[in-house]
Amino acid sequence: MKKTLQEQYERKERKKQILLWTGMVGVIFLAFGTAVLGASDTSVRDLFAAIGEAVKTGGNPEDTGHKVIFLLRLPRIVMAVFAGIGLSVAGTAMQGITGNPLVSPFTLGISNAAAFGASLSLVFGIGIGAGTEGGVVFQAFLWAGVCTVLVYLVSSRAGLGPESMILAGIGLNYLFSAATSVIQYFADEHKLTAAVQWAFGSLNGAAWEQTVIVAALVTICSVALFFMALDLNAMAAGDDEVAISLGVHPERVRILAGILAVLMTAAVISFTGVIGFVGLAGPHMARLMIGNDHRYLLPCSGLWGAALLLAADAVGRMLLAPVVIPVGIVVSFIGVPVFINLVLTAGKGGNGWDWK
Amino acid sequence: MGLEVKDLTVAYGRRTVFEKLSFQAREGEVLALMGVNGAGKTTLLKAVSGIGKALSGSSRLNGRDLFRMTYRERAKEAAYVPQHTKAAMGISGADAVMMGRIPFMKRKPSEKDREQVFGILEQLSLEAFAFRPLDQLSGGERQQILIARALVQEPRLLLLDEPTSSMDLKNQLKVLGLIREVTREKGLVTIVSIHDLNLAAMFCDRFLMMKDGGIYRSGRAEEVLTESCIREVYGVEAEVWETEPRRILLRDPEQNIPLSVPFQ
Repeated sequence: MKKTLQEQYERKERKKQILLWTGMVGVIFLAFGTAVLGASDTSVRDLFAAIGEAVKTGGNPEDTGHKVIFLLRLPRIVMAVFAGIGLSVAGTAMQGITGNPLVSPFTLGISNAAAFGASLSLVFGIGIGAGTEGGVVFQAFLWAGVCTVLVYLVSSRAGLGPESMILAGIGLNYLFSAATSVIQYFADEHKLTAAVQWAFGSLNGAAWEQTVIVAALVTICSVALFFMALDLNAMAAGDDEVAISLGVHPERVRILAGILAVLMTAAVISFTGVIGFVGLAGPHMARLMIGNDHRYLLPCSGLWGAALLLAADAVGRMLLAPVVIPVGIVVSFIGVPVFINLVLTAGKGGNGWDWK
Repeated sequence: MGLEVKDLTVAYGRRTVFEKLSFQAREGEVLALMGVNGAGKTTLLKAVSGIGKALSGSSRLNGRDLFRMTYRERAKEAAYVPQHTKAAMGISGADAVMMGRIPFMKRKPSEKDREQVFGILEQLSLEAFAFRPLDQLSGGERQQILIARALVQEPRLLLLDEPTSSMDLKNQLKVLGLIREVTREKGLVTIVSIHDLNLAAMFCDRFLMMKDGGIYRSGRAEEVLTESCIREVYGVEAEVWETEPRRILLRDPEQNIPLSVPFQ
C-alpha cells in the first residue's frame, strides 16, 4: 500500500530524531576518543578506570595519570564540546533572525570587540584585574557586550531590520578592528605576542572553573533558544510581514534571540579567544543534513559544532606534538574541505544529504 | 458583520498613501481590489490586517478591532499571502504549510495540525511539492504553497496580494476557484488584489477600484467593471461584453483582442 503524505512526513520526522540521537552518541564517542590523545600516553581503558576510581574513592589527587585526565584532558574536551555547541547554535540563531546565510555569531562585531577588550587588558593593563587571566576574560566579555548594545542602539533607530543590524555590526566590526590594531601598533613585542595569540582561539589551559561557567551559560542560552524554535521558523518563512501574519513579533525575537546568541558567543570567546568558522559552518552543515526546522536544526547544529571543535582540537594536539596548534586555526583547515564538499554536493543533488 | 474598515490613513514617512479610506467587505464574499500599479493595493491589504502600521482609523472583523489584538490572536483571525516572499533555503513545502499552524502550536505540531496541513496539500493537489525545498519550486508553485499556508491558519479574514500573478491559466482557475469555494463554504471575508479584470469578473463578488489614494468606485461588477471606469482608472479603451452570467472585458474594440481568455 502506498504511504499517505502524512505517514511519509512522520517517517521523516522520526528519521530526524534518530539522526539527532545518533549524532549525540557520536559526539560522546568522539569526546572520549579524543580525550586520550596527547603528550602523555593514556588509553580509553585508563580513562574509564580513572573516572571509575574517582567516582568510587575520589581517586588519588597526587597521581600523575589522575592529574592529566582530570586537570588537563577532561576540562579541555568539555570546553571543546560546549564552546562548539555555543558558537554553532549562536550562528544558527543569528542566521535565523537575520534571514541571511552569510551571518555568523561574529557578524555583530563581537569578536573584534572582545579582541579589543583583551588587548586593552593585555597590552595597556587597563581594567579590573588587568593582565591577569580573569581580567582578560572580563574585559573581552565587557567589550563584546558594549559592542552588542551599540549595534542594537544603532539599528533600532532604523527599525531593527536585518539589514540595519548586519550593517551596524559590520561597521562596528571595522571600528573595533582598527582600535585593536592601534593598541597592537603601540604594544611592545612581548605583549603584542600575547595579544595576537589570544586572538588565535585555543583551548589551551582550559580549567574547570572556566569550563563550568561556559557550560552553564551555553546550556541556559541554548535551551532558551530551543524554546524559540517556532518563532525562528516563522522568521525563516519570509520577510517580517510574513512572521507578523503568523503571529510572531519579529523585532522581539530579533532582540531576545540575538542577545542569547551574543551572550553565549561572548562567554565562549572570552575564555578561548576567537574561534571562527564553527559558527558559520556548523549551522550550514546541520541545515544541509536535517533541513530548516529549528526544532531539529538548533540541536543538530550544536552537535556539528561540538564535533568540529573536538576533531580540530585533537588534530591540533597530534599534528606537531608536542606543539599544540591553536584550535581556531585547525578548525578552518579541517572544516573548510568538508564544508565545501557539502556545498557542492548540495548544489548538484539539490538536497545535500537526503535526510530531510 | 464582516470586515468594516473606517477612516484608514497610511503614510510612509511624509508620503501619504491614502487618507481616511472606508469600506466594508461581507462574509462569504470575495472582494477584488483593483487599480494601477502604485495605487496602494498592497499597502491597503497590509494595513487592514494590522501587518502594516496605519496612522489612524480602525479595522473591525466581526465587531472585533484587529488593531487591538496581540499578533498571535490576530494570526488566528487573519491570514495574509504576500505577492513575493523570500524563504530561507531548505524549507520544504510541507514545512512551509505547517508554519500556518504556528499560531495554534504550543511546542510542536499536534495531530490536528498535521491532518490540516496534509488535507490542504491534497485538496490543492500539491503532494508533489511536499518534500521539495521551496527555493526549487517555480513562482506559481510557491504561490500555491503560500495559499495553502494561509488556508491552514483557518482565518476568518483572508488577504491575498496578487495570488495568481505567477500561475499558468489552469492554476489560476484552480486556485481562484478554490478560494471562492472556501470563502462561501466557511463564510470568510476574502480580499484579493488582482490585475486581471477578467479573472476578477469570474471569481469575485464585489469590486473595489482604487485611484489617487482613494476608492474610485466600489460595488458589484455592473457598477465597477464598466467601460468608463476602466478608461478613467487605467486609461485603456475597453469594450465590455455582457454574456450571462458575467462580463468579458476586451481591449481594443477594433481588433477585438481580449485582455485574456477565461473560459471554464
